[in-house]
Amino acid sequence: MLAVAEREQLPVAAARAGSPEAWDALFQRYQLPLYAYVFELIRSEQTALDVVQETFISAARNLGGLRDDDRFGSWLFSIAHRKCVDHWRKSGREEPLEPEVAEVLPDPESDPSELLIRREQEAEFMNLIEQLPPPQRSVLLLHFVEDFSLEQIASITGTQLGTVKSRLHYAKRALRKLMEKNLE
Amino acid sequence: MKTPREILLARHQAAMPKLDAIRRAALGRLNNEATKAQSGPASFVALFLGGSQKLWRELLWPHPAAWAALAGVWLVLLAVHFAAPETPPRSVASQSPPSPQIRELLKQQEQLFAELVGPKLNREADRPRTTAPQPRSSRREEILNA
Repeated sequence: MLAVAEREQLPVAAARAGSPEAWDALFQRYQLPLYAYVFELIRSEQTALDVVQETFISAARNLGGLRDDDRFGSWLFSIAHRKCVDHWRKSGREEPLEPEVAEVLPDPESDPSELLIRREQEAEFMNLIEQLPPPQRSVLLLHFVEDFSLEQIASITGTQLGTVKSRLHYAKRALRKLMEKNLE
Repeated sequence: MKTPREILLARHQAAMPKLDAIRRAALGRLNNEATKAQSGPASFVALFLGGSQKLWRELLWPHPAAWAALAGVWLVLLAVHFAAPETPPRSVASQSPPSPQIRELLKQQEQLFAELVGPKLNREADRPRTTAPQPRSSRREEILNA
C-alpha cells in the first residue's frame, strides 16, 4: 500500500535544483495536511502556523539531507513533528510524544480510506481524536492524514515500530468503540 | 460519508488564506537568502576571477586541514615579522650634514696636505696643452735659443 504522497509525482528534484516554482508546488501540496497535523497536536492556531512556516524553511535549507525523493512527505512531517516536540519542551510541559514501552500486538495496518464516517459522527470523531493521549493522537493523525506506513510513522515520530503498532491499535480500538456506540 | 482525511482537512480549510500567506513569506525569505548568498564576497571573487563559486568550493574544500595549516604558517610568519625590533637601514641621504667644527678640521687638514705636497703644480701639469704640437728639431732650437 502506498502512502498518499507516494502515489503522486512531486517536483522534489526540481526543488533540489533550486526552482522556486517547485518549492511553491511542494509547499502548496503539504501546507494543509501539515497544519492539520500540527494543530491537532499542539492545539494553538498561531503556534501551528509558526511551526508550518519553520518546517518549510528548514526543509528548503536541508533538502540535501534527503536521500530518497519518494520519502519527501514523511521527511517533511518528521521535521514538523520534531518542532512540535521542541515546542512542548520549551513550554515546560512534559514530553508527551516520547516513546513508551511497546506491546506485542497484531498489525493494525489497514487502509484508512476504508473507514467512512457519517456526517453526524464527524464532531464526535474529532472529539475522540482530541481526547486521545498525544502519542496515540500523533500516530492516528499520521495514519489518517497522509496514509503513512507504520515504518514511516515510526521514522517520523522517532519511535520503534512496535510502539507505533501499539499506539495505533489502541487508537483504532477506541475509535471503533465510538462508531459502534453511535450505530446502536 | 467521509474518510477521516477528508474530515480533518475540511476542519482546517478556513486556515488556507493564512497558510497561503506563510507559504509566500517562506518562499520570499528563501529567495532573499539565495540572493544574498549569490551576491556574497566569495561569489564576487569567483566571478571576478572568471570562475564559479562551485569551482572554488571544489578546489578549496577537499583539503580543509591543509589550507588551515597553511593559513596558520602565514599567521606565525606575520607574528614573527611584527614582533622583531625594527632597524631601518642607514642611508647616506639620512645622515646629518657635518658640523662646522668638523668642516673646519677638514679644511685645516686639506691646507696641511697642500703644504706638504707643494703648490698647485700638479694641477698645472695636468692642464691640456694649448699650443699645437711641433717637430722635435724645432723644439731643440727653442731650448738652445733660450
